[in-house]
Amino acid sequence: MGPRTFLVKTLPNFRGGENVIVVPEGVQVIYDPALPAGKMNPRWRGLVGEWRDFLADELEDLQEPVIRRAWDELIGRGPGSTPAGDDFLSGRASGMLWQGNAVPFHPVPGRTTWLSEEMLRDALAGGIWFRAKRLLGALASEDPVAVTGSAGSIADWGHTSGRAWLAGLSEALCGERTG
Amino acid sequence: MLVAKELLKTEGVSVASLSMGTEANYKIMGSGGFDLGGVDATPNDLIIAVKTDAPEGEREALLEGALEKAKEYLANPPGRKADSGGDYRPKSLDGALSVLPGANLALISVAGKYAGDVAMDCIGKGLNVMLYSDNVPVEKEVEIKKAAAEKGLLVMGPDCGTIIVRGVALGMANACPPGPVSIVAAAGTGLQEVHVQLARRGVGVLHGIGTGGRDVRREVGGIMCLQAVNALLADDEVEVLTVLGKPPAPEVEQKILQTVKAGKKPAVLGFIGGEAKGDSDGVFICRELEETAAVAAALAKGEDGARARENLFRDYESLRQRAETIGRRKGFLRGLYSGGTLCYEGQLIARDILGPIRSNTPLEKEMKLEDSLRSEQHSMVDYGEDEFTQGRLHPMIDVSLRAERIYEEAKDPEVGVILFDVVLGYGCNDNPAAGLAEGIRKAQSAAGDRIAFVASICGVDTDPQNASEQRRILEELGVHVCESNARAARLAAMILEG
Repeated sequence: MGPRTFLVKTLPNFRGGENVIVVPEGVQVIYDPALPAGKMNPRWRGLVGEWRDFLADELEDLQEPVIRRAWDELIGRGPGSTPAGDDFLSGRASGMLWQGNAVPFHPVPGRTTWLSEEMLRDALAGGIWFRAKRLLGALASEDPVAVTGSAGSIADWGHTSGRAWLAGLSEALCGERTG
Repeated sequence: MLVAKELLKTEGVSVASLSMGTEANYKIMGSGGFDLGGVDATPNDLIIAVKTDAPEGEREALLEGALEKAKEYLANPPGRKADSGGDYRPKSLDGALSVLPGANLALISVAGKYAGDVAMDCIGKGLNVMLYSDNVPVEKEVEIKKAAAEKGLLVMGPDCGTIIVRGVALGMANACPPGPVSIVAAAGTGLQEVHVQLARRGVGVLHGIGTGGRDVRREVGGIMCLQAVNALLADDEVEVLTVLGKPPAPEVEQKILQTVKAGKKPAVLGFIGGEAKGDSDGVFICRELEETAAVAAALAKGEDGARARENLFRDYESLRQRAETIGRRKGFLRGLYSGGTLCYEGQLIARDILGPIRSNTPLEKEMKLEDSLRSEQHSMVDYGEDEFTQGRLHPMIDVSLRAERIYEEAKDPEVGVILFDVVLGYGCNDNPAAGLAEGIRKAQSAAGDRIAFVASICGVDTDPQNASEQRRILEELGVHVCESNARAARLAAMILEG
């Protein structure tokens, strides 16, 4: 269970103004968060490539730094309680590490929400949430049902988070942007 | 984001933004015109920012209200979709081909100015194309058809609403069984009518290939019509070939005729209203849709096509008796069609009995209606034309315009017959007869017995709308329902004849 799920599933309702202390030790992790083995099957390049187009409409604030490859500027940027720029970077980090590449950015603490910092920390350490793990496993396979099913579950996640994450993964797996 | 959109619906709010208080978002909100000087938010704080043009005295209350609303929406997000986890559907051609690499057909329905380029992409990837889009420039049509022909691919369209592949309907088509006949048509209600008329005679269709209405004109040269004819002649499962549409350019007609005769398969050429005559060498020449179907059905059953034609036209004569029984009417005919080819055929038939027919898609230029919304003398209007479908659903889907027009026509004291088609099948209105019923009732109240209502149903009982059920609805309203467009146009004209 990742930090977002932990918050959603385990916390009671609070009154406005209450202080909350979170102690996650002892929370049971129910899946192996390590990146799966394997690499993307080239068959899916066309499908994964189109996820870069999620950077439109509500995510257009991310476009310019992505085009300039100014990854640092994406930290804390954009809509959502986990700013979409962090979701993008998290997806990109997971994609790059899955490919066996180093990640060329290192977030400076204090520039984004604590939840995003946790998420980025985990992604940079090669940890991955279970929906993403399912997707990477499907992308290493020949199974279109597994790919579209797992991609759908991520695209649907949050209002912009899932799409931003997929856009970041696409950036990592499909190389240089054109245009 | 959702909450910001909801706040924008509040009167007086011109801009709304909800963002976490990160350094990056401070810059974005600043460039969006929000002055965050003095706002001491941390990255874990949510900033709710609202702009208003309200007068000074009202701003405080408006901002308080917006803040309360934002808190309420954050606690209960409006319009939040359940995390459905539904399958991801590809948005690009490459994405779709990665999921379905064995695909060999693309159906294109984008704005006409882009559709040609999308079609070229598909042809480049080895896909046949069903081009549902209209408003594709003719130069583009020629370019894509030549490219497709070089690769042995089909481009069905532009403006192709109906195709049948191995008995499976795509677009607006009817639930008829597969069988030994195949059709090449402009693709629309002409194909549907022949498909349905064949089914009523117990004969199925394997393939119905649409070429778009311009394909057989001089500028396009019949590229796809000939491509389709050759493909069907080479297909051993096709026993009878039918080619139909408006008359081709003379040189194109010659090529089609030569190709069909060389194929040595029984064939019916149904060039609606065409001048060509004379069946020969196993190729029958017809001028009407039901006639084409009747001859093709006979050939498929190993019967005499010419005899089938004679029997059909003998049958048509009995319509005079039906007209007498209904009772002659005085005045003008008003035809209101959803199908372009049906309207065209209707004009041809009615003109032979009543004389000139005006239309928005006339047989002769000088018969064009000045205003398609205002009938003159005998008129037939094709509601499927662009003037009625820009920004609106096709009349086979939305029957409301025609329903209203039926009532308007009935208020004209010089109208004696109102004629209309009811087209069924996949993609069409789920109950067109019921949709037209209100207009018919109002018309009957306005006109009493002055007007006779005549209709044809292009559909079968296995269509989602069930042709028999549609017939029942119309007949209960007193509409005289005919088995084909040709019969309906004849009956309507005969009621007014003399």
